[in-house]
Parts: sequence; structure tokens; C-alpha cells
Amino acid sequence: MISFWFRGMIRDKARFLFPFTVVTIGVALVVCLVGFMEGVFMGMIDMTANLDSGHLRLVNQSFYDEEHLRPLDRSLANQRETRDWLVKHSDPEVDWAPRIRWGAILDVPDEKSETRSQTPVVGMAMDLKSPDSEEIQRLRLKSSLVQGTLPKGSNEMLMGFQLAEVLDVSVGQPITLIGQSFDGGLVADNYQVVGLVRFGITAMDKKMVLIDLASAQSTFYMEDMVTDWLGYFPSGVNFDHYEEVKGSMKVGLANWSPPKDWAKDDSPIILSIRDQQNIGAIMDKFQVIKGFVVGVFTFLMILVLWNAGILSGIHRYGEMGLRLAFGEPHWKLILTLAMEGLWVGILGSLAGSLLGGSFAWYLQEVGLNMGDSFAQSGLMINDIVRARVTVGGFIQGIVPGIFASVAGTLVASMAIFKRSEANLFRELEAG
Amino acid sequence: MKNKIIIAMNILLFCMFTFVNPCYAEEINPQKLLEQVDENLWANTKFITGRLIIDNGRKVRTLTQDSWMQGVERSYSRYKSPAREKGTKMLKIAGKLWMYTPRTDRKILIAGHLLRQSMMGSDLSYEDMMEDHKLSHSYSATLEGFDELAGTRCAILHLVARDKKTTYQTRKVWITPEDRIVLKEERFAKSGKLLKTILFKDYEKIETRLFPRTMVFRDMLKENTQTTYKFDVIKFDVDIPAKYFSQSILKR
Amino acid sequence: MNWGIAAKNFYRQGLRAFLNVLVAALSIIALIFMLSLLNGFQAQATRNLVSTDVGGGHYRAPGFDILTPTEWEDFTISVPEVLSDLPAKDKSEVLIQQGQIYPNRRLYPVQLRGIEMDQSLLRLPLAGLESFENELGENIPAVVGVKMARKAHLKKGDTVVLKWRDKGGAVDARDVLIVDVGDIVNPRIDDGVVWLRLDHLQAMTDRKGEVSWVAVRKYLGSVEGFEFHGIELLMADLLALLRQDRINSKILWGILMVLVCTSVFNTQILNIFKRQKEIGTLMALGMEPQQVVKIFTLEGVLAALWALFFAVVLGVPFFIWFQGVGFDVSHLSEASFPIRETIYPDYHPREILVSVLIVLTLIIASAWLPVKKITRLDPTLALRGRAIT
Repeated sequence: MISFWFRGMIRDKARFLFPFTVVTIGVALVVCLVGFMEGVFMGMIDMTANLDSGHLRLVNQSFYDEEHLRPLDRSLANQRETRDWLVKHSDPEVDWAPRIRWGAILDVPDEKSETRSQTPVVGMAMDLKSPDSEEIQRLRLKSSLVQGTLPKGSNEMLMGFQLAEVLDVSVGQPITLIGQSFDGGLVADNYQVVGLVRFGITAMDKKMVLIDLASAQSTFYMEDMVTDWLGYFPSGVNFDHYEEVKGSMKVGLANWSPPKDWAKDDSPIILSIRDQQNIGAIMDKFQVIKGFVVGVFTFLMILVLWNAGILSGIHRYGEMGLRLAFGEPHWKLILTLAMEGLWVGILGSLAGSLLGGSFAWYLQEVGLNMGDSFAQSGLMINDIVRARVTVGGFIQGIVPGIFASVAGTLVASMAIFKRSEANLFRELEAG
Repeated sequence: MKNKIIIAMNILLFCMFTFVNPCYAEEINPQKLLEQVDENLWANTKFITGRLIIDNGRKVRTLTQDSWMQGVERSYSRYKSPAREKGTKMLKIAGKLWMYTPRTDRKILIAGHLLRQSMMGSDLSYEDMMEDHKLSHSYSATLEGFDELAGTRCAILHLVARDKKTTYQTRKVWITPEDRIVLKEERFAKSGKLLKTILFKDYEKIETRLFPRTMVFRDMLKENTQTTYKFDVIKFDVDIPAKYFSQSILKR
Repeated sequence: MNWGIAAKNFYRQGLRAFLNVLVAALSIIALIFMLSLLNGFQAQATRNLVSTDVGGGHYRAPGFDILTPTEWEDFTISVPEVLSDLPAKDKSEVLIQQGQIYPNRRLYPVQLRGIEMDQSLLRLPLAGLESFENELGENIPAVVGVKMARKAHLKKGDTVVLKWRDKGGAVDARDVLIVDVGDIVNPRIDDGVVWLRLDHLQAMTDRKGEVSWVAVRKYLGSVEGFEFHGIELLMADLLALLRQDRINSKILWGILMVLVCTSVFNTQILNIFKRQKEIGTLMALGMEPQQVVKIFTLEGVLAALWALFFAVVLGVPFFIWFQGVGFDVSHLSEASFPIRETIYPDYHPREILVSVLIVLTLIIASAWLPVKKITRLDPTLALRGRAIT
């Protein structure tokens, strides 16, 4: 009986195909929309996270307080032990990246190896050389290289392209870096510029230099030390989860007996991206905007689905008349209609999720290149529109998809009560 | 009996200082005194083996160095320890300062902004080190009064820079008129705010001069930092090979 | 006649037609709202940058770069009469120098920014500095922004040591009295900046009459010894960001439009399916297929026009209400947007007109697309309801 009914439903274009298509498109659009909005926002957040703050960050309190001075003497020692602790006490999904934030003076020599120009720079050191390092991908260094290559050997440097212009430096130029070591001593070390990078943020393009972590540790005499541990969740993890992990890590932090090489006054703190640069407030506000947009959109989709339900219902008045004439009770008729609506909703939602989800996934993984006009704006991270597939997006699509389908059918079926069987039967002849 | 004599002598001495002071003050020619101080400190040539003890409030580091100086305009220093700084050389010739580190194997000009940075992490800037004029040459001195410092009577000279470009426009120096040595120096901002103090300690007679074995620098705007310069070997009027004051010394 | 038939058909659809109209109307409202809010955001961000820093552009000492603090002292210049004679509302002289403050006896490098007190080109919360004498007193009065105050642990009434160099290179230091913690809408001139009176900073650094730049209301042609930095150059980062926001909102709107079109399209398909006999009859009575298509398309036009009507009826009160309430974005200035207060939408009639036309065209197109197959319909089959299956 059920298969008979099911086959009937599928064969009848009006009964199945139209509402199914509408539900599919509607759900797909909502999934896409949520994914897109999440993607745009998370793109913005991730830009900050990737460059600067991480999703989670372990840093010495005294370093954090004087971050503007980049006090290397407040670094955290015992890299391996610290990493082990972080891996053990955070979520297994989190990838922990050690970094050093440093500041120094760049001395550019002329061909006689005498000082030609000097300028202060800010720098970041990160793992740029290990084969399994995520950092290159994270900062999209490959695609933002304007000239040259990524560091392969030791003491190689990537430089913001505008800084290179100002210093009149090209790839291959040797550079001396003059700064302060971990313990306050003088540091001078030679580097070679191997690549010029376009970060897309003027301040960085003009003042930023990237070097490999191991090189930095050797230059600043910071063996086994870093200033920051940045934790990254895979894309798709909701940022509420960041807070949960942070919370549990805080508890762990209180009971941590510090590694032997840490200074007595080292007191690491754990921060999430929410705690930095007021991202928290922006996130909250974004949730409101997203809720608003998705709400309006869902409302519109419900209207469309409802309309589709009504249309297909009206189309079937004749059939209703026939069935009532055969003696089928009204409630049973409406129940089967509701069941049909439910099935259409479920199947449409599934198809829509699949369609919208795969498109959003494509946007997440590959992105939508907005072309040259966009590239001119020079934003390394944002020249490609990206989405983010989230569970929330599916829920926000599926629930109204099913609901509207059933509700639309039911509203249409209400009309059956109003009309006499004869009327409906006449409409059968007409239809 | 002996004690009584000592007490009597002390009283006499006290009276002498107390009452004779005004006339004594008149006798002091501050500028002259400053010149005498310079003469005592600045030999034609000088060799020093010293230790730079840098305390940044958290950690104490000690650097050892050999320095050769000719007048006030030329100096050459070579760092001997710790291992990281070993082989680092500094050469100052007539207002220019170069640094050489074995790691970079380059001579780097320390100029402009870099001059104002702390030297080797100490409370001294490269600029402080670059001073290439005798105090009596750069400053005009006036006598401000007398003060007792570590049990020694000192004349306090107020120094005002002759040139507007001098980093510290005013200084105060505590000089013992008898020995013509400086015990303390204060360096001020133009406004008169105290920026740095230097204590000169452990004076010893070396050849014909009295020379401090220890100098303690403090940056008064910062908390808990101090740099101590200890001179272990001091030789005056030594022969210095000419190559020490040539840029060609700045290599391996 | 076509209008009459179309209108009758349309109104007889009742609720179905109304729902379609409602969806389209709400989409129009959402579209205008989105675009106008973005306009408002852009206008306000631009206005804030212009009114606190950029003005109509800067006449700068050649070589001056705000991102290279160590060279600030090398790039100052005396103001020529052509700029200094401008009225106070048309120019603002600014001197930028490097300094260090020592809150809690810890070093904090800062940007010293001296600005004329009688200028009215830039709007800055510096009233606290105005009451002081031209001459330097014991303490130097200064204003810092909220963000700076928080970072450097400063509050109103605090004194903190400031160290700087004068023109000759002599070191100077004095106590600075924080006379006010100002609410500076532009974070770029808050973080790390200590605001001083221009005459004070000039006296402090021995640079009487010298500035780093003169902000002007509008470009005055080239001025010898200066290089002009226009608004586009000074705000390049922000403009790029806003351009990108526009693209994002277009994508969002595209998704919305697909939904609207689906709705109209679906309605029309079912309409034709259901009204085959009607179509067959009309054709049998001698109506040209094109005419039938016209009738159905006119129904779409009617839907579009009603959508427009409802958009006005529902939208205008909403927009008026929102113009009163605004959209609070106070969090953004904490990041790097030069915006603090509430954003109000900025409606551009031309933009609204174009957007509405696009929506209407799309609705009509989606109404026409399914009906064009009527031209291929066999009237006899249609009469029996067998033409479209």
C-alpha cells in the first residue's frame, strides 16, 4: 500500500516534483546562505587568528602585558614539554603552532657590505620549513608570494613587498638583523631575503618580516623557547567550542607544575580569540546580524514553500473529491496529505542539504575567486570568497524546509473542508 | 689621651670646613676643577680590561672586554665573553661608531636611531658611549655648593652644555676638590628632570692618576635596572698599534 | 482587454498571489535595507576618518611615513603662508614626533601628536587642552584615547613621565598630566598616541612653526616643498575593505533573488498547468499564442507592481523607524574600523531605483519564462487538458 502511494506520489509531477524542487532549492539556498555568512565572518576572524591571535593562545602574562615592546625575555621555555601539555589538555582537533613575536632593526648592506640603510621592523617567526607544518597554508604564503620562494634553508627571510620597495631590496639580498637576545644582550645575524610577500594590510606590507622559527631561536639565542603558542581548530568548528576548550584548559593550567626551565615568575595564561582585539563583541554582534538575515530569509522561504504547498493542494482538488466520494474520511485524507508533505519535506531537505552543502563545501575548500578587480584591493586573505559548512546551517535549512512543506500542504487541505464533495468532484473533471 | 687629640683635631677640622667654606668656595674655580678632573681621567692613550655587569631586574649578565682608547675621539673595544658576545668589536673614530660581530662577519654602522638603543642591553646607550668630548670642553661649570658623599666632602658642579645638540643639556658632578676626582654624576633632561646617575667607586692610584675601579650606571626612569662597569686592568700611555683604530680591524 | 483578463486572473488567485507578492515585497525591502546600511557604514567610516584625521587630504613633508617612527623627526617642515593663512575651519596643522612614556616606570613608546587648538577642520575630543597657556608649564597637558588609556594603565588626572628629543637631539623629559581620556572614534589615532597642543609640542622639540603635515579641507593645487596625499591614498585600506563588503552583500542578495524567482517561477508553472483548458479556450476563440503569453506575463507584472506597492507600504515605516534607532556598532572601533557610534542607513535614490528595477525585471522574467512555452501549445490538446503533462 505504502509503495503504491509512494509511487503515485513520485509519478505525479504536481504532487511531488514541484514541491520537492521548491523545498530542495529553498533548503539549498538557506544552507548556502548560512555557510556563506559564516564563511565571510569566519574569514575575517580567521585572518586575525592566522596572523596574530590564534583561536586559542598560550602566552606568558608578563609578555602579554608588554606585547608592544616584544619582550623576548618573557618567553616560555621547554617547547616539547609545553606542547605535550597543550596537546593533552586541549581538544585533540587543535593544532598548536609555536611562534615568536620579535622586533629588530634591519641593516641593509651595500655591495661593499657596508651599511646602506637601516629600519626598524616587526617580525614573526613560525615553522616555515617542516614538511608537516600548517603555517604556510594558514597564512596562504604560497599564493601571496609576489616574488621569490618560501624559506628552505636556515636564516632565510620573507619580507613585506612595500618594505622591500622602500629599502630597495630584491630577492637574494643579504640583510643583517640587529636586536636584543632573550637575555637582553645584543644580537646581530645575517639573513637572506628569499621572497617578497603581499599581506594586503599596509602596516604589514610596510613593516613585516617573517622568518623560520628555528632560525629565530638561533638568532635570538632562544633555544627551546617561544613567545606564543597559537592553537588552531579545523575550519567548521563553532567558536562556542573555543570557549569550552579554553575553560577546560584554564582548569588544567591551575594544576600545571611548570617545566623545569621556566622562570619563577612565568605565569602563562590561556586566551581565546574572543579575548583579543575585542573580537568577542564583534562575534556577538555578528550572531545578531546573522540571526536577523537568516530569520528574514527563512521567513521568506517558509512563505514560498507554503505557497508551493497550497498550489499543489489546489491542483489536487479533483483527486480529493474522488477520494472523498469513495468514502475516505476527511481526517484520513488530511493525514495522508500531511504525510506526503512530510515526505516531500524530508526528501527535499535531504536533496537541498546535499546540493547546498556541496556548494558551500566547494566554496569552503576552493572558494570563489572574485577576479582581478578584487585582487587589486590587495587583501591576501580575502580575495577569495569562502563559505563555511556548519551543522547549524543544515539545521537552519532543514527544519523550516520540513515544517513549511507540511504546513503548506495542511493549509491547502483545509480548503477541502470548505468545499462540498460534489464541487471537488467537478473540479476533477475540469482539472 | 690619643683619642682626645683625635677628637680635638676633628673639631678643628669641622670648624675649618664649616667656617672656612665660604672663602674655600671662592677659591674653587669650577671650570678649572673640571679641567683637572678631565686631565686625571683622560690620558693620551689608555688600555682597560673590564667587566660590564648588566642587571635588568630579572637577570644579571657579565661581559668582559678589552678596550684601547686614544684621547677622547678614538676607541676600540673587543668583547671576550660570554661566548655569544666573544669577538664582537666596537670601533669609534671621530663621531662614528661601527660594530663588528663574528656571526655576521660585517661591520655595521651604528647611526641615527640605533645610537639611542641600549648598548649590549645595558643602561648605557651607544650614544652615551659615543661621548667624544671632555666634560670641560662640552660644558661650562658653576659651583652649586658642597655635599658630603660616602664620607667625603665634594664640590657640586652644575654643568651646562655649550652646544644645543649635546644629548644631556645639564649635568651635576660631585668632585672632591683635593683629589679632583668625580664621585657621582647626574645627567638631566633639558627640563631638569633627572635621567641617569653614575657612581664612581673604588678609586685607586694607578701610575700617577687616581682612577675609579667601578662605575655604576642607573637609568632613573626605569625600575630595578643597573649596569656596573668594573675595571680590572688599567694602563695609561700605552702604545696602541695603528691598526686598532682602522676600519680594517673590523673583521675576523 | 489583456489587462482586464490578467487582472481578473491575478486577483482570483487570492492567497497564493498575495504570498508571492509578499515575498517579493519583503525582498525589495531587504535589498534596499542591506544596501543602505552598507552605504551608511561606508559613509560613516569615511566621515569619521575624514573628520578625525584625513580631512580633505594632507600636505605632507616629503618622505614622511606614519609607519616609520624613527624618521618622524627627520621629516618636518615649516608651513608656508599659502597654508598657514587658511581659515581655522579649512586647515589643521599637525606635528608628529616620537616619545616614550614610563607608566609604572616601564617604557612605552608613543606617538606624540601635536595639533592646533583653534582648528575646526578635524573633530577631536581635545577640549581639555584648550584652556592651557601657549607657554609650557610645569606639567605638559595631554589627552589620550580610551584604548590607549587602558593599554598604558592611565586615567584622567594621572601624571606620567614623558621623554623625547628636541630638534638638536638633546634629551628632554617632563611629567605629563593626562587632562582627559577622550573618546576617539578612530582607533588609528588612539592606540599609542599622546595628544598635545601643537604649540607645546613645537616648543618641546624646538621646532617652532614646523609640522609634519597640514590637513586641508580641499586640494589647493601643488604647494612647493610639500607632497599632497589625497583621501583615496590615505584611506586605501578602508576603501578596499568596503569594496569587499559590497561584493559580499551582492552575493547575499543574489541568493535572496534566487528564492524570489523560484517562488514566482513555480507559481507560474502550476498556473499554466492548472489553466491549460483556459489557455486552450482562449486560443480556440482565436487569440494568438503571443497574446496569451502576454496575459500571463501581465499577471507577473501585476505581481511585481503589487510587490512594489507593499514594499512601499511596509518598507517606508520600517525605514523611518530604523533611521531613528540606528544600528549600534560600538564594538568595531575596538578592532580597526574607524567607527564607534550608531550607524544609520544612507539611502541613495538612484541606487534604490536601479535595485527595484532589477527586482521587478527578475520577477517579470521569471513569470514570463514558464509561459513562453504556451506558444508551442496545441490548442486542441490544451482544451482537453492534455497539452502539458
